Amino acid sequence: MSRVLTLAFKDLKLLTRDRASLFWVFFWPLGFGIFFGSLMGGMGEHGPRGMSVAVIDEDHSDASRALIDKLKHSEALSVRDTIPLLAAEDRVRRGSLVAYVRVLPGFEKASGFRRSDSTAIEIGIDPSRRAERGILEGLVTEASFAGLQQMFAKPDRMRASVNESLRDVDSSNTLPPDQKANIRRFLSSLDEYLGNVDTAVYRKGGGEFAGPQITAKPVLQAATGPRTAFEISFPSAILWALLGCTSGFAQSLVTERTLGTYLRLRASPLSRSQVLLGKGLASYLAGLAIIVALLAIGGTFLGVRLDHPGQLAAAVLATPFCFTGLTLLFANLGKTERAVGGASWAIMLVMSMTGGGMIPLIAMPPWMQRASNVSPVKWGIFGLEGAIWRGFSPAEMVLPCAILVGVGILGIALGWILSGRQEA
Amino acid sequence: MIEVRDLRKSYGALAAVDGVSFEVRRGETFGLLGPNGAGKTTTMHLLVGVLRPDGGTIQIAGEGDPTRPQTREKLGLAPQAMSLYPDLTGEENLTFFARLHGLGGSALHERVESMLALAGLTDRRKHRVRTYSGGMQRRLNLACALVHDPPVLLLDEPTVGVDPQSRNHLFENIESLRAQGRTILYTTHYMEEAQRLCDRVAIMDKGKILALDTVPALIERYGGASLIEAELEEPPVDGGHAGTWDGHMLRVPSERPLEEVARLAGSGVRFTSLHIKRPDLETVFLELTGRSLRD
Repeated sequence: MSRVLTLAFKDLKLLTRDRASLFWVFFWPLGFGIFFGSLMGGMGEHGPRGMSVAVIDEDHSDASRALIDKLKHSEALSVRDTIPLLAAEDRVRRGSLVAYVRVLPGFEKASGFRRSDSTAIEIGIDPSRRAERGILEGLVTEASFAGLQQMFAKPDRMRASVNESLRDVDSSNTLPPDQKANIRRFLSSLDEYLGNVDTAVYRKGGGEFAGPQITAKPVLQAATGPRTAFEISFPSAILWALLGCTSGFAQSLVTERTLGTYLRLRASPLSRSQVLLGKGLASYLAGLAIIVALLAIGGTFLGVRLDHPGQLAAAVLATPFCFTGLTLLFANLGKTERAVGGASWAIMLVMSMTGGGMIPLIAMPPWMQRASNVSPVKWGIFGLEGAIWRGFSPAEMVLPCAILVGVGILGIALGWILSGRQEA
Repeated sequence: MIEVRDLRKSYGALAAVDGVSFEVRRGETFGLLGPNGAGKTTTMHLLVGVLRPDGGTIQIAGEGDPTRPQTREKLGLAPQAMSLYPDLTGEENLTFFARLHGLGGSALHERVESMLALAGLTDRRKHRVRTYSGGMQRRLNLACALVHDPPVLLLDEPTVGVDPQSRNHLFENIESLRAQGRTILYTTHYMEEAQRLCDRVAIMDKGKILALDTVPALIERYGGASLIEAELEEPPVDGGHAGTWDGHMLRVPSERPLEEVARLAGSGVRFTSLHIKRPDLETVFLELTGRSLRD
């Protein structure tokens, strides 16, 4: 085994010294993943930062500032408050913002106990975004009530508002007399209370007005869509890296033959199986290292979820095994680098086109998704996506992983037979 | 040490090796001399088990199967192609091949040092092989075959494409290995190398061994007479001498060329130039095949 490891580490050393190969098997796929992930929407509007909204303050009051401050502290929102109204409208129209919240003049007055017929807050949002609109209205209402809490800390200002409301009630011609009396009693009691309130206690905070307490319990959704576009582009990028590895290592075996080093290897105590095993091990370890590196980058910087270590490990181990088998098969399809390079890329491009390497599986029509079953690239992407965002259970991971391992074993067996024929 | 009996290998209708038999004795340097395509390299590949023979037997150091690891441990092969990794350094190449043969620890270190010295590459040990000259690469190619200290060395055209200085360096290396008593099988199409280095030579052509013996015995048996080429100031009017005339040039074949020259000088002719061409392996090959080695 130590001879096989010697052979494998020699190949890995040669890979690290060949800058062009290193570019194609690592940096190019990384660029591919980042570029296409960004092109498809990157973090999206529902990424970890929350729903993107613009807030425009046209009231410039303490109440409006308190409202905006409260919205900014919401985990559900990503608030931009420096965008003018027209620009905000334009961004909502183009989809780069979910909505804008416009705090209109008179918001503070309308926040008290006076009845107001004019609008105090305007939400600009596409009518089709019903769910987002509901969430946003709830968040804005919650933030508005937080402003009311603050008013108890400044009772003089609130008493003035109460008195104005009393005058409005008295002068109203539309309110029935018994209703007028009811409201008068409430506002008079509030005025009396505000006259004696201990403002220091309110400034200290605590015991705010609140509805029933709500606690969020994390319940992971079983089947979920990709959280970011990188969760789609990175599995594809990983498969491109493996295709590069496959072609590179397949050609390296032919290069050994043309250089004459293969003859020296075979004249050493290594058997043909050991030579193939060493080459395959190098290809497998390189593939494994590249997958781990790409996933680490995607997980650390681009929001790719690595939440299911068991499923991820199965996909990460099975996928390069499949391509190791293909490496050994392709390496024995010809006797020159040109023949092997041409054959391997011709076959792998078809695999990639049909298997989701170029068009994401999620974007394929149903018939194409069925047709893609013949491509190992599809099962590689499917397995990785299953572990990243498709929410596959361990049982659901068995199918893609078994297919990948099966293709790998078949490739190794065919490669071994063909290499025997080359030595006949 | 090496015994080959009726070895055969064909590619379709082409018999690359056609009933070859020879024996290389312990400590002997044995040459396979023949033009390109004679079947020398195929014979080498059959000996190391990279190709499977269609027929015949091979015995190396008492082992009958060259594909067995135990047999291969005893073999060192310097292939005709420069069988090195250009992107590894000279030291890394040697270390890699030594490890494949199971060397490790201080033994590995000592052998690598020794082989770097043998190849004259100690100063260039950390440089990648792609930066080496052709001669340096050839020397390293030989060192890689020797790094595990094998008793049997197979050298396949080890001086192809090498400048005269590096060729001399290689010759000295091989002569030193020969003096150490190592068994060497040496293929070449340069008769000078076979004459200088080999105890016995098998002349090979079209997959067959045409003759096998020591160089002097081959020459004696197949080389024929020496040829005297004498340019005279005045050719005799009547000829008067055995041989052929071409203007002033007289060509005389002779088994005893010095005696013939003395006789010519005694007859009063005056030489402008005199050259005695002794028979060599080239002559032997010409005699055996009707073709030159370099055809």
